[in-house]
Amino acid sequence: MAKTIVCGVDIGSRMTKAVILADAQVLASSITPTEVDSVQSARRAIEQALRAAGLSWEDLANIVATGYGRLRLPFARFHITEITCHARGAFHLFPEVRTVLDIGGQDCKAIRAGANGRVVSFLMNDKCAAGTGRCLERIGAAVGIPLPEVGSMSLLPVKEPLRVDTYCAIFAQMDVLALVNEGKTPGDILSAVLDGYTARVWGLLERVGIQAELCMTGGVAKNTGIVKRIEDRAGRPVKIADDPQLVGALGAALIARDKLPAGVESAPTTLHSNQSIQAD
Amino acid sequence: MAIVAGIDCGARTTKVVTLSTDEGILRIGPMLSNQGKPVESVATQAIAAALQANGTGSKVSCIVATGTMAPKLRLAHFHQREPQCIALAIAKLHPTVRTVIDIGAAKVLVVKCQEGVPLAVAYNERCASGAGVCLEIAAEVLGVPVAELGALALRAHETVPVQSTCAVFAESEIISLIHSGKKLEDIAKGVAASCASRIFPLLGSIAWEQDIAIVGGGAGNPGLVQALQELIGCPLVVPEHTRYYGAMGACLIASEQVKDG
Repeated sequence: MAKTIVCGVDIGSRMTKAVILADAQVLASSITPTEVDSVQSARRAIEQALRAAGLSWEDLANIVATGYGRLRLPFARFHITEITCHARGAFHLFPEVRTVLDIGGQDCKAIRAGANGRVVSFLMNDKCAAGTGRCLERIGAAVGIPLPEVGSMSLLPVKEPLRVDTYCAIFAQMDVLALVNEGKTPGDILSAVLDGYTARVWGLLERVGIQAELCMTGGVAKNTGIVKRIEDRAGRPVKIADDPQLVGALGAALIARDKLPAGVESAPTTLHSNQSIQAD
Repeated sequence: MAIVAGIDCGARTTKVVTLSTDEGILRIGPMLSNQGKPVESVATQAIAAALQANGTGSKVSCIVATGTMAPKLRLAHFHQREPQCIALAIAKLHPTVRTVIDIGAAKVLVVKCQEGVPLAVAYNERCASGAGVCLEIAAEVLGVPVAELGALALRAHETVPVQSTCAVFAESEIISLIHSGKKLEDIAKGVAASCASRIFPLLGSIAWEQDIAIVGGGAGNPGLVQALQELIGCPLVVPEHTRYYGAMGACLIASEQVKDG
């Protein structure tokens, strides 16, 4: 029997992600910048993933969209919240996960899931840049460190302990600029900023109720400095996918399999506890 | 004769006002950027430049500092909080004013005052929305110098609402609005309206009274002034030298210190 091909697309504030599944196997994925036209961004992400898989639009039995632009996609059959998709994707990769922390470019969500991977409750900050990827990006720019190096730089041994505990991303950036002007080192500054940042995010997790295991998703899960600080507070390792940015799109694709149009058959989705997803 | 100085170290700029006790005239300036330098060296340079411009010699008897960065300054003899400084300065220059709105780069401060004394104070503690940095970010994406953002807003025929509370998110929202074909001046008016709507609740919390003055860098944005006037429902006093009110108040306090001995 031919495999059923489905696609999940996650339109984030900064990046649009697509995952293509053949039954429960990830065939291909893509990550591309979100542009002003979110429909176009989603189309591009899906086409990139299709090309990588050697497939075309006609092969897709179902498309589920999630993320910021999810209400505007003409070619998606279903639009599902990111919260549901991240919980679904995380649970698929790590069935023992009950708490998901998803930090993207413009929001931060703490999600509590039940033993079936369904969302029990969640808290999110999408009103303000505090505790988001954008905040880290601005802080990195203020100290002259590119975003991918912010995490490792913040883990260097501290020469002089500093404090940056302003809530607002703009206040934090100004505090950082003042510290740069005073000649403090990027490592010490970033260490202080990421301590404060983690304290805020941890507050969100505590309010939603942390239950083992804990999984981080979204672009900020690539920041080793944040992950290490969350692990220190949790007292246990945090589960992270090979590419945590793709977990929302993976969840959307899994939901696309669950919600196949009438007449399309598929084998039941199986869970592979150690399965990881690859970005191309 | 003694020379005294008030220095206001803000998040972005350092402002100095000096006074020679025998002539009793406030001398305004300079204002220097804090960019790239420790606050102590900017402050030292600003005081030296003020003295040189006045030709009044190099000895300052008393320096009073105010502003966000003031507690770090070693060259100051005293520190005073901004509401006290602003209340004193406004009482001296605009005695009918009962409420002052001070819009700095990072700060929104509102002070109800009487005869130079603050009666009630409110400010943005946790969030920069409504502060000057929002105007800076908007000006940058709209492609105009921040000094011209207000004039741009005044040319608007309608208001394009800017919904994001957070200045960081407003930046991406404005980019989307530009791409969707909205007129720059209409967006600029939306930015002013958005900032005004963040500032207005602070005024309510101190039970504002007329006359109301606006000072700080934000006072230089006529679009913001107009948006605030529409919300409040009365005209605002926009004084000269709006960015020096903190430093003027600090300088007045310094001159009192010298008089007291």
